[in-house]
Amino acid sequence: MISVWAPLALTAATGGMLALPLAPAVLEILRRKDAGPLPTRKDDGDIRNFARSFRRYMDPLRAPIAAATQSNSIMEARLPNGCYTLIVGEGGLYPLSEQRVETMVVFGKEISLLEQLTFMQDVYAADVLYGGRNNVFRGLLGESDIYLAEGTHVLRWLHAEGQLIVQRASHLHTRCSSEKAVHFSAGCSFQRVFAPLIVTASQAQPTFTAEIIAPEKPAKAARPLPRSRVHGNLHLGAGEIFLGNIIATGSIRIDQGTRIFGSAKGNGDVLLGANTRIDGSLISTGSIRIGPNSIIKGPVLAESEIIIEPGSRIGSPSSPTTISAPRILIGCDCVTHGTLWARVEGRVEE
Amino acid sequence: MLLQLFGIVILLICIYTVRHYCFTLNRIMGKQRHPYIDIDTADWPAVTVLIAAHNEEAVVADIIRALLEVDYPKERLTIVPVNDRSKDRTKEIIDSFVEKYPDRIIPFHRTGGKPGKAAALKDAMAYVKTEIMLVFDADYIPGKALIRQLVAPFFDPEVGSVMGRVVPLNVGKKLLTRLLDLERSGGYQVDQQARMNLHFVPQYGGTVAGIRKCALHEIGGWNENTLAEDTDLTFRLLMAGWKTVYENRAECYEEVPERWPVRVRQIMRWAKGHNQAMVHYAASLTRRHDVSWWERLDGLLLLGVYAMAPVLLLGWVLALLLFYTGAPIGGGVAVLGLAAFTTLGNFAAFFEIAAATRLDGSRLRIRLLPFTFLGFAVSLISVSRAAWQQIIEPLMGKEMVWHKTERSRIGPVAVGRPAA
Repeated sequence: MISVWAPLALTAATGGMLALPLAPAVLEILRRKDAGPLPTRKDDGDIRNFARSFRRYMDPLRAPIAAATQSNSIMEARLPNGCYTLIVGEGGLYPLSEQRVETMVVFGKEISLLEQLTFMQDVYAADVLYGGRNNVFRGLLGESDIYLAEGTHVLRWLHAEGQLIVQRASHLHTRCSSEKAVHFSAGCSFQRVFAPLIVTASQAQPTFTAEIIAPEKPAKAARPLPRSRVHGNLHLGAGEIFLGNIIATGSIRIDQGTRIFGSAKGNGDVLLGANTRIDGSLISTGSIRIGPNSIIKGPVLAESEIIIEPGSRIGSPSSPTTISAPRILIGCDCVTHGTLWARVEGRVEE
Repeated sequence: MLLQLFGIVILLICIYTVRHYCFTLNRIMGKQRHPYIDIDTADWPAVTVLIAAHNEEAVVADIIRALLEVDYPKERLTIVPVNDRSKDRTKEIIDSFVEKYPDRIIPFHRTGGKPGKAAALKDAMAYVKTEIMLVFDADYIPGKALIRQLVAPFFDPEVGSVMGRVVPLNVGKKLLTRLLDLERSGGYQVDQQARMNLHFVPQYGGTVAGIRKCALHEIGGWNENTLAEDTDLTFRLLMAGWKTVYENRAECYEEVPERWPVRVRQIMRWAKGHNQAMVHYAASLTRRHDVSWWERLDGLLLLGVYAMAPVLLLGWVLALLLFYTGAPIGGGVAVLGLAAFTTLGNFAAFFEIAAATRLDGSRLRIRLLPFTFLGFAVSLISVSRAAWQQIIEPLMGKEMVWHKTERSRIGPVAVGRPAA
């Protein structure tokens, strides 16, 4: 009897041991638990998407906000999802005493906040918002100008339909945008910023509207420029003029007053002297240092660090652009049109 | 003699094994390079999108619809469907879109000429008025941000071509589609991105891709005498001092073959085209001292990828021969040696796939890994057969024929919403 079952048992055991490692695969084929296509990016990547979706989220509160504003009162309201919201219809000085606000807050009129306030939920300002010192915001949408006082922290996002003025030692930890202008004071830090105009100054001041929207004459469609590829390091002397795109397989040094009618790329560090002008992009696989009062029209990208010295101008009103590097240090009196994107650290230097 | 040959085979397998492991470990632990991904504001240049379409009635409407909805300045985006001698309703479908969007779509209906994608694209160049052009096969479905992601690297004056990531859409249809999904993940998420990270040679893949027109002009335009115009272009650009960059986050859905015969024809065409490029460019690449040493090494290994299948088969045959002829080192040792190296060599590729699924954040599809051996075996035979045909057919006076990949899609696909 044993002699009959033994080979069968051995075959079954061996088959089982062979099949066991394949069991998860067979089960996955039969059950198809992870058989959908991998998700791909569906959004358009616009920095203002957070603000737009928050505005849509706030839409059901339009009527209560109008009522609270008309009656100069403070109201409580609930969103359709049950989220509790405080609507402050009074203008002037922030009327509440708590330093830590746990609910979502809507300001219907121009408001000035007290010092040391922490907003644990997003804030919506229908009019101008003047922040107090050391305020902490989770997220903030302003339909007009926003003034952030010294030592402010914004943790998740910020968008201003008007201008955004950020005073010293404030920290914008993630995305921040304005439809008009962002003014940074020295000592501020940022990560991703977008505005038609980004200005750095020792002490930030708002700009007159006329100054912001003045557009440059759009450039004519450019013809492809000739390309020069230099093996090794490249040095352009002071006051030289170069027509075309220039690429160095090593580092690039450009002395003061040089002009490049095209783009420049260094496979190493790039060092620009004062008053340099580049009509195209400036790219480096290392770091970039842009000398004082230089003008770069196109994107500025570096794989480690970008240092922009005082008085430089990147992009133009009619041709906004992007500055991107893991670390960006930007001096005072610099003007950028477009996006500043520092993945690790962005800072406005004294 | 057999022993020396066997030694060379083992050496080659070891080199490719190390290559696979380097790429995978780089993706898991190395510094990742995405230098152009943050360009979200720019004076975007005018762009022409070429859609290569040969008998594509099942899919061409989906890609045109998707391109009409992308987030790119409308006045700077021209769509050129390249209808290459189609005998189905492709022309009719394209013309129906042209009627609705005459200022955005300029059709090119090609009625004659040499067959093949490269030949069609070459003829379509008369319609390209912009400096940057993007190329898509008709079964692809670009997302909203894709065009900007593919154009952004061209702000770098050293970039001649850009390659995005291909993501299969019809994953759940068959075992084959699921295996191809894993293979694509390994190829793009690990292989291509690792080459980008290491400043090696990312490959221009011919679709979800962009080319700078002056770079193409400089290297002599499209080569219509090749079955893999993408590999051909990658190496001509490299040797002319242009960079190809890979954008891992510029993802685009594609339809992968759902039937094994279609897959076999596809991979045989790729293998033949790739081997053509190897024959044409391997020697000249080694002599290019203006290309970095690492790029030359990686380029050579990339050129030899499809030649490794017959080499591996040869290794197995040699091992058996050595075993039965009682070679001095001992047949058993030979078999064990090759088995060890092939296991490592082959499984290095599986390690790559496993790493890719982890990077993609998909947990359960990794369970199918044992079945990828099935895909590997089919590819091994098909690629070896292709190499054999490449040697034999010219002797018999046969010309290489371009086989179009058949589509299986039925009905339109919602843009941005993948089918389950």
